Amino acid sequence: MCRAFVVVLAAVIAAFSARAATVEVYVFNNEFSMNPPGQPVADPVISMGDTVRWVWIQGNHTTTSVSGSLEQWNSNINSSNQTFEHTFTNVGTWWYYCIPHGFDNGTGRRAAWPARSPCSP
Amino acid sequence: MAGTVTVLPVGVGACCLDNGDCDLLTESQCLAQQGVFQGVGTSCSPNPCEAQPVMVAVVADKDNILYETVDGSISNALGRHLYTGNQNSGARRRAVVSFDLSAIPPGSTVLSAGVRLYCNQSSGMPINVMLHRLLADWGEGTSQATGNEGAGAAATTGDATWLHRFYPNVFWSASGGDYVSSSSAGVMVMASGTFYTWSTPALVADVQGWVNMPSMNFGWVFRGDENSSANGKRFDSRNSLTPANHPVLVVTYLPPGALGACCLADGSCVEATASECADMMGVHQGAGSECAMASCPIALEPFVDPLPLPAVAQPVTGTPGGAAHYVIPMTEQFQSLHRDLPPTRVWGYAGSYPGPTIEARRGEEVTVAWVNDLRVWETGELRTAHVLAVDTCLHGPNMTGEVPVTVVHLHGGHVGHESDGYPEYAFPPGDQSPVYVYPNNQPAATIWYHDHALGITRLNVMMGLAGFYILRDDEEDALNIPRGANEIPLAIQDRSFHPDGALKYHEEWHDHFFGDAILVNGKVWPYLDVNRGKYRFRALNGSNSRVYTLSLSDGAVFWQIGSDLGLLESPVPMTELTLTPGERADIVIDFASYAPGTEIILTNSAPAPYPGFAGVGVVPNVMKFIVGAAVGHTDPLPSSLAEVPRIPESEALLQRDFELRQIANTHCPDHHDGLWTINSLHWDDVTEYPVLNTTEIWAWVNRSGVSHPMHMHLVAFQVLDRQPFDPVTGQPTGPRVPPAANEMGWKDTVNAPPSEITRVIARFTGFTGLFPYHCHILEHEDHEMMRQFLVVAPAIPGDVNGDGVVDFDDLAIVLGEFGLTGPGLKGDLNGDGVVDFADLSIVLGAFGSGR
Repeated sequence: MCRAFVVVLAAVIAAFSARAATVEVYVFNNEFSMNPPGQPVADPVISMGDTVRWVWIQGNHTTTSVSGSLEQWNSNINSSNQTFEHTFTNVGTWWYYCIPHGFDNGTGRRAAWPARSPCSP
Repeated sequence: MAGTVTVLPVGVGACCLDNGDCDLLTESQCLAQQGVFQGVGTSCSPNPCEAQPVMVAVVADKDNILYETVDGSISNALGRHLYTGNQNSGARRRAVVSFDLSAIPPGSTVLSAGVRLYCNQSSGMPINVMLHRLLADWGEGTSQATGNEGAGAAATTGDATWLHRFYPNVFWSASGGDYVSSSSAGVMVMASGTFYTWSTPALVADVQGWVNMPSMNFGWVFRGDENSSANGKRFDSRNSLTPANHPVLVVTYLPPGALGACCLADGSCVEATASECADMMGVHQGAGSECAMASCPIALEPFVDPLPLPAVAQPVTGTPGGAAHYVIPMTEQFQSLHRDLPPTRVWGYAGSYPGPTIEARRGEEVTVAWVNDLRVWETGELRTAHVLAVDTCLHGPNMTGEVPVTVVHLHGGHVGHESDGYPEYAFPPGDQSPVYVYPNNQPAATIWYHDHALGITRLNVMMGLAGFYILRDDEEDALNIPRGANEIPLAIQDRSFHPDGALKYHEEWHDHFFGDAILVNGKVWPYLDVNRGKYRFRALNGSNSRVYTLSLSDGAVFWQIGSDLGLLESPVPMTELTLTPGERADIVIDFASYAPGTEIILTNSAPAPYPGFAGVGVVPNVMKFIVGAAVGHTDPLPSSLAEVPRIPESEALLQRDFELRQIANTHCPDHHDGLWTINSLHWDDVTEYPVLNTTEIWAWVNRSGVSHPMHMHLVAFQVLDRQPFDPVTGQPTGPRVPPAANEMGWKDTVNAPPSEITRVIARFTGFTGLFPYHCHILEHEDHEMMRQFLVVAPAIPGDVNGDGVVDFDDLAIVLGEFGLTGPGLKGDLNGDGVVDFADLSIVLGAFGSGR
């Protein structure tokens, strides 16, 4: 009983003392990526409470969550060397896009292909 | 453009396992696996199990101001401020700052870096203060300006000035300092009383370079507005009375010894430290990088294989170059693509990659039965699965699975729907197409055939399913242009290889593929022995995604004589030619003036993706020409080649706008890359119904950051113009600009650059039915950036002008074009390539209808 309490307490302390991290994602033509241009595109995997900082290095883009997403954010159109931050408080994979160069599909959820229409040529 | 952020539950963090792997687990899960928990919220990227990042903040060890004077007599080594921007006199000022990085161990990998300055005075407008890497050492003497320090003080021995690196005897090469012309970073400086941080990938590269080579660490020069005296920006120097405001460089690095992917010369990958990798002559991919993610190119020596020339396809009946019937199988074979590479499993037509060249003549019909005879080479059994990984989330393979279905499209051929290689008509191994009919009712041109199966075109073409179709005619034959052995097709494609020679391609769909080797006619970086004379090269960009900007290594002029669908009006001199995927260009290179033995390289400078960043992703070599002693075709080029009458814009019934953009990929949410679309619609959404024999303008509105080569089946079009627009407002930001001279010919594929509206005009003639139009980046085409138009018959046959009645106006059109041949003739009602009595009889037969 006593030991269990210590473990729980340790976990609570660990949870509260863990420093939330900030992860940088570059914004450029025509990607969002943790790596700079010319390297493989990488999406961040973070912990709840962490922050993503988007860093504009090329072009006029937004970072905008799709509608229907529990995480909602929308930056202004930014050009080079500006940043935007959003702290994530929901577990999941959250889609986002750039308003001038992308499109909001609406749900941010998985959609299936329509079955082939029997009258398709 | 789109992306994802994946958020893990609270309590999860990086867990280092015994084997050095990092997993994201809770602490108790980690302990259960006897791992070492790195803390809640820690990440596995970069991998903390191999090395922990270290952050250091380094205060400037030296700074100064370069004040522009004729004699370089002013400096400010010990002042409290740093200036950018001009003095009231108009003289420029630049701040130079350096940081001692000796605290960072050699061999470290720099993960991030940022320079922070405190602005203490800001005049005028917000200014983008740029930072450039200095290329030479400089000094800080003992000069010290007083007051606001704007005018500096007399330079002392060892000071940096506008002219001096070290006053009074050591000079910059260029007044105002020696620095890299492109800036490493820029930050808009507005308000005073605040910190500004410069941090970009280029700045990280600067710091990494200095860690690798400390002797090159001369710091940066900061430049503000140098055109006016109204916008000076002043920052605290390292002698500021407020230490917290001194210039600081914050660097996060991984110490040496951290493992990372190391690419070896044979294309294999091992995980090693940077120094171990260097010992193995490998290229380290950075601490924490993993072999599973690394794309290690195989080091192949360029220009060791001669350029292959595709064989001429042999018909079953008839003769090559005339009316003929062919039966052409698709086949699997092993083929040597480079001297030092084991043979590669490829697909081709009739046993070769690229396929044999079909020779055809205008007006003489060619028919082909295409046979999918793809068999596992080792067993001879018909293939039931593709060689490359099929992404079954895509439209097409979501129904056909991994079966290598195929269908052949004659790219540039004016053919009917049934013979067009409609993507949904793809058929499996063991099956064959109906007899495809190619009427050849169009001018001489370099066209090509390739696979077009729905959702796996990129894989089938990557395997090798492409070949030339050379259409000739009397008009072209009458011209004195290089022919025979002096006429050479060049199919340019990029590929990547595994060490065993196998083609290396993505495991799941990505929105582009850029290989690390360039093949021409199926050989990596080949060479061609040429005579001293002119050659006609029929260049095809047959790559999936890669754009080429071709030039000759000596900068020599060459001439473009043809575009996608035929000869230009006259040769166009050029030193650079950009070809997007699917485009062709007939070019003439003259080797007459070169001494025997001269070697000239056909080079590429196009970034990947395109237009992208200069230098990023470029594979510079294409092929090499070696000039021999023999004299070749030395006759001058004709000044006039063909008539290409412009289609008047007024002829168009309407203009259709097509938005090109990427949307979040909710169909396949596991994919990283977003879905590419045209007007946000899909393949199945048919919304364009051009009426037969009418003319339309199609405008490609590119709301993305990359060029899209837009291809229309059936039609020959002309490029009208391009106009820049603001992708945010959608409003044009400049005038419509007509195409360059080499784009004034007949085309079927056009480069639609980012943030531009590219307009083409086309006559929909010859055939009714469904035809695709799409981006010819095959990765885009396979995942919804392909749609289809349905050409419909006019309500009344013979109603040539579509006004609802068959009358003298229609008769006049047919009579006006009577006897003419070629593409896009409105009077060619039966689509046989000539306006003749058959067309006249259609009008006369219906005369008076619709009244």
